[in-house]
Amino acid sequence: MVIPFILMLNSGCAFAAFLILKKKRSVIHKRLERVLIGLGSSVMSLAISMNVQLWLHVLAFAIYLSVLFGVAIGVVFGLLDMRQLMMIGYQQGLIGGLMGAMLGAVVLNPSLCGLPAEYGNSIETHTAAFSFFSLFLSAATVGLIYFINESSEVNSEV
Amino acid sequence: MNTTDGLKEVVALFVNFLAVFFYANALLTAGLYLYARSRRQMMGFQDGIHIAQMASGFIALICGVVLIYQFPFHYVNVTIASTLIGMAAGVIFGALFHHEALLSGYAHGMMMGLMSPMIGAAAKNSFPFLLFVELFFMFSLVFVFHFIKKRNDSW
Repeated sequence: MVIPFILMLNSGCAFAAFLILKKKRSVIHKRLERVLIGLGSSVMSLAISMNVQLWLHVLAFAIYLSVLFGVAIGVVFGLLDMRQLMMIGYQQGLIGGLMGAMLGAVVLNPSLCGLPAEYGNSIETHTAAFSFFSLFLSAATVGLIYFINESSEVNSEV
Repeated sequence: MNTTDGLKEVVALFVNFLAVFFYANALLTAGLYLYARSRRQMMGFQDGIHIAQMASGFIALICGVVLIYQFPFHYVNVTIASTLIGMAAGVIFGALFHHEALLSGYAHGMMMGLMSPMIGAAAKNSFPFLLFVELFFMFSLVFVFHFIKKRNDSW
C-alpha cells in the first residue's frame, strides 16, 4: 500500500530533476551537463525500477517491466539537450534499472543471496524500509542537482 | 570445556579482526584523502573524477562486506550504512576538485554501496573472500597513491 505512494513521489522527484536540468541546460557547461544527466538517469531509474519490482512482484514479467522503466527514464533524460547524450542516458539507465530490479528481487526473496532464513518473517518491513530509502536517495539527488546548478551557473559563462 | 573456550576465543578474535579491518580501512582512506588534498593543485580534469570514483567505490565495497560479515541479521541497516558511507566518501573526495568529480563520486559510491552487502551475504562468511576484497581495496589505494605521485612528478 505504501509502495505506489512512494513510486508516485519518486516519479515526482524524477520530473523535478528533469525540469531543473531542462531549465538550466543553456547556462551550465556541457561536461557538467553530461555528468548531471548520468547521475540523474542512474539514480532515478534505480529508485523507480526498484519500486516497480517491489510493487508488481506477483507478475511474471515484473523484472522485464522494471528494467524497461529504467531504460525509458535514462533515454528521456538523455534526450534532454543533445542527441549524443542519449547514449550515456541509455547506459546509466540500463545499469540503474538492472540494479534496482536485482535489489528488489533480493529484498523479496532473501535466500537468493544466502541471507539467513529469519528474513522471511519481515519481508514487509524490509520492503517499506527500502522504499523509503529509495525516496531519500532520489530526494537527496534532486537537492544535489539543484544546488550544483545554482552554484555553477556563473562559472560557465567564461 | 577446553574446546568451547577455544571456540569462543576464536570467535572473539574474528570479531575483533573485522573491527580492526574496518578501522584500518577508514584510517587508510583518511590518509589517502590528506595526501590527495596536499597535491590537488596539480590534478587535471579527468583525474579528479577517477580519484573520487576509485576511493568512494572501494571504501563502500569493503565497508559493506565487513559490516554484513559482522551483522548478518541486519541487511537493511547494513545496506543503508554502506550506501551513506560511499556517498559521503565520494562527496568528500570529489569536493577536493570540482563539481563533476563530486557528482561522479556520489553516484559511484552509491551504486557500490547498494551492491556490496549483497555480495558479502552471498559469500557466506568465507574468510578468503574477505582477504580477496581487502587485497583489491589495498591495490586500489596503492594505484591512486601512485597515480597522484606520478602526476605530481611529471609537472
